[in-house]
Amino acid sequence: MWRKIFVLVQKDLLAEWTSKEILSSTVFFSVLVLMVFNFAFETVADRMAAGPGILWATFLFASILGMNRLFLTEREDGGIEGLMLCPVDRTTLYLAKWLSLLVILSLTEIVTLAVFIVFFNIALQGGLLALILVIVLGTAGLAALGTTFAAMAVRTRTREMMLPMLLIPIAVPLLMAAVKCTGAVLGGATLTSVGSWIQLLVAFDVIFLAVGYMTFPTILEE
Amino acid sequence: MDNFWFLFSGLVLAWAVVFFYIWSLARRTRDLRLQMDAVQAQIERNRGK
Amino acid sequence: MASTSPPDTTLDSLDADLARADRPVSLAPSPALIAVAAVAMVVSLYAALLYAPTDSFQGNIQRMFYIHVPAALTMYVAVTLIFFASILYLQKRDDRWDEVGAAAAEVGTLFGTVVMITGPLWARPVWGTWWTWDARLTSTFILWLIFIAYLMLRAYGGSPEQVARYCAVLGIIGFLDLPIIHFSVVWWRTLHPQPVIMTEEGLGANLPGSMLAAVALGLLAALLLFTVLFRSRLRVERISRQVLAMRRSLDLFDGENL
Repeated sequence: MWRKIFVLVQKDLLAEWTSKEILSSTVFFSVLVLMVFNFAFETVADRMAAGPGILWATFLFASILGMNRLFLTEREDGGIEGLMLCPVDRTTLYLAKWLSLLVILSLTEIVTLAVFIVFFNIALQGGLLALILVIVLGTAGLAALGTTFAAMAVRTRTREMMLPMLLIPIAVPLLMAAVKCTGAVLGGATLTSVGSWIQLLVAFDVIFLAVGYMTFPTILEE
Repeated sequence: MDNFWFLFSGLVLAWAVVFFYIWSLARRTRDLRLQMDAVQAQIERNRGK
Repeated sequence: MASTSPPDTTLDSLDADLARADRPVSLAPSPALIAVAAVAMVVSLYAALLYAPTDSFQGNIQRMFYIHVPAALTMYVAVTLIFFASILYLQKRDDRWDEVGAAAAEVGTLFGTVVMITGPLWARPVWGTWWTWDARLTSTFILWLIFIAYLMLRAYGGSPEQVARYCAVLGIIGFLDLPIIHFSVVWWRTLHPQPVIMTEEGLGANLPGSMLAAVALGLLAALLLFTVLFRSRLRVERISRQVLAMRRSLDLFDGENL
C-alpha cells in the first residue's frame, strides 16, 4: 500500500512541480491576504496580538483555494476517473491525496510564514522547529478534512463554493488549537505549556483522517 | 419595562418562525398531493390506451 | 400520439408505486399527537410566562430561557438523530434513512433559528451585549452553521443518490466534531472575560423547583413539536420521492410530459 501511495503522491507532486499551477496562485494569494490583514489591523499593538490569528486565517483561505484547484482540475482532466481504473483501493487513494495536499499546502505555508515574519516583524526566539511542528499538525488536519470535503464539493452543483461552507465550521477547533499553539511559540513559550491544545490537534487529525479514510470510497461512488 | 419588548419580540419572532415553517410544510404537502393526483390521472389514461 | 405499448412489467411497477402511495399517510402525525403537542405548548407557555417566578436578578426577560434552552436541547437531539440515520444509510443504503436525515436537518435548523433569535434578544438586556463568544453560544452557533451546510448540500449536492451519500458523510463528520468543538471553545474562553451577570452555566445548579418545572415543560413541548414537524416533513419527503419515481416510470412509458 505504501508503495502505491508513494507512486501516486509522486505523480501529483511532479505534475504540480512542472506546472506550479496551484503553488503560484496560493502563494500569491497568501501574500495579498497578509497585506489586507495589515491594513485591517493598523495599530501595532493589535497586530502583535493578532499575529497567530492572521497567520492561520491566511493559511485557511489559501488552503481552500489550493484544495479547490487540486480537485477541480483533476475532475476536469478526468484524472480521478483514470485513477479509479487502476487497481488502487479508494482508501489508499484518500491517503495519497491527503499526502499530496499536505505537501502542497505546507510548501505554500512555509513561504507565507516567511512573508509573515517580514511583514509583521516577528522575532522568532528560537521556536522555529516548534512552529513548524504546529503548522504541520494543523495543516495535516486541514488536508484530511479538505480531501474529504473537496472531493465532495467539486461533484456538487455549486462546486468550489461548497468547500468553505463545509470545511470552515468543522475546522474551527483545529484553527483555535493552531492559533493558541502558534501564539505560545511566537511568545517564546514551550509547546508543553499548550500541551492540551497539541493533544487536541493530534486527536483532531487522527479522528478526521480515520473518518476520511473510511468514507472516501463512498464519496467516489459513481 | 424595556425588557418587556425584548421578551415580547423574542416570543413573537420565535413563534412566527415556527408557524411560517408549518405553513411551508402545509403548502408543500398540498402541492405534492396535486402532483400525485395528476400523475395518477395520467397513469389511468395510459392504462386505458 | 402513437406510442409503442410497454412491457407489462412497467404497468406492474406503476401499480406497485400506486399501492405504496397510500403509505405516506401512516407517516403523518396523528391528530392525537398534534393535539397533545399543541396542549403541551400552551401549558409550557403558561408555565414560562405566568407560573414560573420572576427572576430576582434578571427580571422578566429571564423567561426567554424557557424557550431558548429547550430549543437548543432539541437541536442536539436532531443532530444525534441525523448521526444515526447517516450511519444506517451508509450501511444499508435504504432511502428511508436518508429521508430521516433530510427531515431532521430541516426541523433541527428551525429550532436552531429559534435559539439564534431568542439568544441575542435575551443577552442584550441581561449582558448588555447582543452576542458574546462564550463556550455555549459559540458551540451552538457552529452547530447551526453545520445544519445550514447540510441543507446546502441537500439542495445543491447533485443527484438524489449522491446527495444522500454526501449528506450522510457530513452528518457523521459534523456529529463527531461536536465534542471537539465544545472542548476547544471551553478551553479558549477561559482566558477571556465572562459576561458579568450570571451565565447559563450558573443557572443550572440552583434553580427553584418551579423554574425547573417550567424548563421541563418547555422541553417536553419542544420535543413534541419536533416530533410532529419531523413526521410531517418526513411525509413530505416520502411523497415527493414517490411522485418523482412515478413520473420517471411514466416517462419510460411514453414521451408525454405532465
